[in-house]
Parts: sequence; structure tokens; C-alpha cells
Amino acid sequence: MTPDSQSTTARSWHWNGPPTLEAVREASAGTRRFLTESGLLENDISAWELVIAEAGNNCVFHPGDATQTQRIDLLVTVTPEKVIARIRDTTPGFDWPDDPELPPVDAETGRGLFLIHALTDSRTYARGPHGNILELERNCQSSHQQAEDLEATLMAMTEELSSCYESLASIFHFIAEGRDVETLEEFAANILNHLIQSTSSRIGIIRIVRNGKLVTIASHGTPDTPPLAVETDALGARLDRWVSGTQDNLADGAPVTGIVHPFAYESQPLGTLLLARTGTDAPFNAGEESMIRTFSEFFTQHILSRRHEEEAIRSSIARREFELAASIQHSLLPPPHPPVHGVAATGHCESALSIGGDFYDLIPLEDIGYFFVIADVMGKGVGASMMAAVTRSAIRSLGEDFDRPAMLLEKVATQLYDDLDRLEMFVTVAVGVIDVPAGVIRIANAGHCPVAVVSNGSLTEAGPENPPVGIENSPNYPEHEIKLTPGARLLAFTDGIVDPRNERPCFESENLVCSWFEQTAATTPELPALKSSLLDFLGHHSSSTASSSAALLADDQTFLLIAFD
Amino acid sequence: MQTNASNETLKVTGVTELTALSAREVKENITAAFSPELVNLDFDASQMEFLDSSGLGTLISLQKLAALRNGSFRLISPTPSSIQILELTRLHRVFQIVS
Repeated sequence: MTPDSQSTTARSWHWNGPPTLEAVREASAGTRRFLTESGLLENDISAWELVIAEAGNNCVFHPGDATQTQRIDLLVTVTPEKVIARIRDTTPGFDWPDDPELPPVDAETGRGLFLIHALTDSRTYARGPHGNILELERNCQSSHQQAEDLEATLMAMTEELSSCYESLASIFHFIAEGRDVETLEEFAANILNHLIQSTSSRIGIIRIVRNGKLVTIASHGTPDTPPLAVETDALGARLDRWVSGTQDNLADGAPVTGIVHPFAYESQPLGTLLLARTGTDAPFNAGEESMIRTFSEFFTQHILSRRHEEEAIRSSIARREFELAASIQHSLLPPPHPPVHGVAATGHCESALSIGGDFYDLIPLEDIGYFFVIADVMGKGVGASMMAAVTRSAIRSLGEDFDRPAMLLEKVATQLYDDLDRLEMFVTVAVGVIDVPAGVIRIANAGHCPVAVVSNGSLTEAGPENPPVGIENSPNYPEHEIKLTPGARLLAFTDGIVDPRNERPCFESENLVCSWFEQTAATTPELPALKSSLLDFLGHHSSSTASSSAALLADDQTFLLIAFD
Repeated sequence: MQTNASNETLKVTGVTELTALSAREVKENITAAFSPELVNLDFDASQMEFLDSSGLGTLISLQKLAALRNGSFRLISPTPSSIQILELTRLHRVFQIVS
């Protein structure tokens, strides 16, 4: 198709075709070519390409009687001032709305008439029984208008830059102020007030996610309302959502225009900011939007910072309490005692965590010798350490039975059974007395590792017999009696020193511990040297590699050494 | 038009027009390529020379498609003329636009 006429004042282009999508696209592309040849600016050309497409597609989508031969006739006329398009069709036509509105944002159709309306300056629609005529006009953009547009663009850019500067300055202010603000709510209120003033908004709400729900922490110009659907939607999609028209409980039902901006950190939704104006349908400009997003990012960082601080405080308190518990537990271990009737004792206790369920106890008995305890509460950490303290206390309260270990153990087992049973815990315990006047060692063992005694050159292993404490209500324990001779050595230990999970050297079995003890006690009888040898074996001393000494324990390690000379 | 799937995302490129004439075919091709293991849609609009209201409807339906899988729909580098139409219909607030 070529221009129908050409003069110094007006040029026209005519097209005629069937109401099909292919033909309409041909008409709109032809319009572009004609207007390009006519020297129009790109803005006008692209606007007309779209307007002709929308008007033509309307004819295609509303064809009316399909048996009738239908055509679309298009005449485009360019004058120095404007472009006029006249579109004739033979469809049944429709009522042209005075002011077409945009459909809901999620609607997939219904924007064609709005676009025609928005891109033209004048529209006349004549609907008749034999056809319809749509006449559209759009004033041509002059170079003067272009300059005005450019100026407006520069103004908008300047405003945006200015608001960026203001945002930055305000953020510095808020950072300084944030140090003095105690609560997140107070900080949110300050941010919200700043944004309300900077964007001339009337309504503002900041909500954050607590226990999976959006909770209001600051609001302005509106009572505390449940979260709006648009806020939930913005948070779920992690995208800005625009608010327009009336919203429940906002502005007393008056129409509002605004934005909902979600806060999020990676995939974690943190909250929403809603800002809205009343009495205008003008959306926020680019500078205001930039400011809103900048402050939202800043507030997000503040929320995260607060949460990290809270977690750090909680962690610090827990660590302090843990250290305190470890200190208390350590203080429950017996201090070094001088030998009693030639009986000397020493011990070692190291927990897999800073506190644990192993303990040993040594009580000097005047005129007799020593009463000793070694025990291992099932488990590690605070729970095990508390039960260890309870067990130690229960044993210590039975001082009258120190010289009868089996009876003492039976009493302790009966006393602790209910608590241990309820907690589904148990304790392995070995207790004994070095009775120098009687010349014997008496030992009772409730499910604990064997107590090794080397006396007169031979090894005796005491226990374990019967279940640990906490398994039976009233258990009976046999008592081992071993003859005490000068030079006798005793080793009691917990299963931590045979636990292969420990990242340190260990014994492969309890029997090997006893064998090692029998041999080493013969060659290294001095108690400090014997203890040192055992610690060496377990990778605890500086003579071992530093890395093995620092390696983690999977189970507590405790042992007790007693010597009679 | 080309589609390329990677890391749960289907990237659509090479769409030069999204109009009443082409919208249906574009949507069908993308829907077919959006296999069950994919959740996100990146629509490269950098070569889109012409976009009409039917094309806008197609973009909205693609966004819904990604939302059904809790995924994201992003318009990558739309042309100035496409941005103008998105702004005119205020859909620039609805789509996640990546420059």
C-alpha cells in the first residue's frame, strides 16, 4: 500500500482487509512504515502502531455474524499538527466507554480500550446498523514538546538523585540514632514517620513476621488492622504490590493509592511496609519509590542486626551458665588429700563436653583409710552432670555405711530408682573402702567397668555385677574383698578410656586396661608416675602430639588411682 | 523463540513480538518447555519490538504459571517501547523487571 495522496499539508494512507489477526498486524505494521516515511517521531509512530493493532483486534475478537462478508477499512492521515486514523468495520460494534479503566492487575484481557484511550487525544465512535466508524486523533509531538519532555525527565532524575542523597543523609542519622533506640518498635516508628513525611503519605504500617504471622510494630494514620491481602501477597511473592481504591479498614473506606514493599532476607520473609496516600490517585514517583526501597533495605538490615545481637546475647548467657555448671562440677571433685594410714589417691576427670556425667570421689576415713567412688551417668552434658551431682550427694549422705560398700550401693540404688526411672537414665557406680586395719579392700560394683587391684603381684578384677543403679528398684550387690598388701595398687576407670570414638589413643578393651595396669604398676609403682603413664597412653600429655591432646572426646574419661605402701 | 532450562529456571529468549497474533503460540511453547522440575521463568524481552494488550495478558498468564510452583517470573531487559506500555498499564509494578 502506498500513500493515497501527498501534499505539503496532509498525507494519507489507505488500507483495507479482512478482520483477521494476520491482516490487523499487517495494517499496524503498514501504519508504522507510513508514519516513518512521513517523518514522525518514534514515540508517535509506536503509539499509532499499537493503537491500530488494538482497534483492529477489537474487530477480530467481536466479529458478530460470521456469515456476513466483513472488512476493515483504515485511513490514516498525517497533518503537521496531528495524525487522524479512521477505522470502518461492519461488526455489530459496542458501546464505547467514556473513560476506560484498567482491569485488575491479574486480568489477562481488557487493556485494549485503555491503551487506545491513553495514546490518543480524541476519540469518536459512531455505531450504526451497517457498520461503525472509529475516528482517532493524536497530536504530533513537536521538537518543543520533546524538549519539554527531556526537561521533565531531567527534573525527575534530579529529584531521584536528590531523594537518594536525602535517603543517605537520613540513614546516617538513623544509624546514629539507632544506637540509642532500645526497641525495634521504636526504631520502626521513627523510620515510618520519616517516610510518611518524605513521601507525603497519610497512612503507613510496618509489620514483621513473628511466629509465622505478620505483626504490626509501627503504624501511622490508621488503627491497628489485620494484615491486608495485598500485604500477604507482597510478602509471599517478595515483590512490590500497589494499593489502589478502597481497602478494608484503611482511611475509613476512602480510596487510597500506595505501595506495599516486602522485607526479606534470602528466602526468609521478614515483614512488610505499607505506605499510602488519600485524595489522589498519583502513584509515588521514581525518587519516592527509590527512597521507600532504600529505607526498607536499611530496616531489613536493622532487623537482622537486632536478631543477631539477641542470638549473641542468648548464646553468651547459655555459654556463661555452661561454664558456671562446669566450674561447679569441677569443684565437686575431691581436693588432694594427704595419705591416710599409708593410702594415697589421685584421680583424673575430663568431660567430652565442658561438663559431663563422670565423676569420682575420695573420702578419707580416720583410722581406716579411704572410701572411694567412681561413676558414670548415662549421657553427657548438663543433664548427666546434674544426675552425677545428685548421685554423689546421695552416696555422701550415707557416711555410716562407708565401710560396707555393697549395703551402701543397695541403699543408693533404692533411693535414686524413682528419679532415674522417670528420667529414663541410669548410673554405673563402683564404690569401695581401703580398710587398712582389717588389711582388705572391699568393693561393690553396679554395672561399672571392673576395678583393677594389683596386690601381692597378682591382678584382681572387681565386677561388674548386677545392673547399674536405676535399672532395678531394690537390687542386691555382692561385695568383693581383696587382701591388702603393701605395694598394692588400685585402678578404677570409666568406659571413656576404651571408647574408640574418641579422637585420641585408647585401650581396645577393659581387659587390656587391666593387663596394662598390672604390668605398669609393677614397673612404675610411684603414684604420680603411674598416673602420668596412663595419661600418656591416652594421648593427654605434652609428650604426646599436641594435636592428639587437643582432639575431641566422644565420651568422658575418668580414672582413679590408689596406692598402699 | 528459544528456551533454555537450567537450575530450576526456564529462560525464554528471542521473542521479537508478543501480540494477539503470536501470543497463543508463544504461550503454548513456553508452557510445553516449562517441565515439572522447573519453577522459575526468566523472559528475555530485550529483542521485543512490539507488545500489545494480548501480549501483556500472556506475560500475566506466565507469571501465574510460575507462581503456581512458588517460583518467580522475571522480565529481563525489556525494550524502551515495552517499558512504556508496561508503565502505561501500570504492570511495571506487577512484574519483576531486571535491567
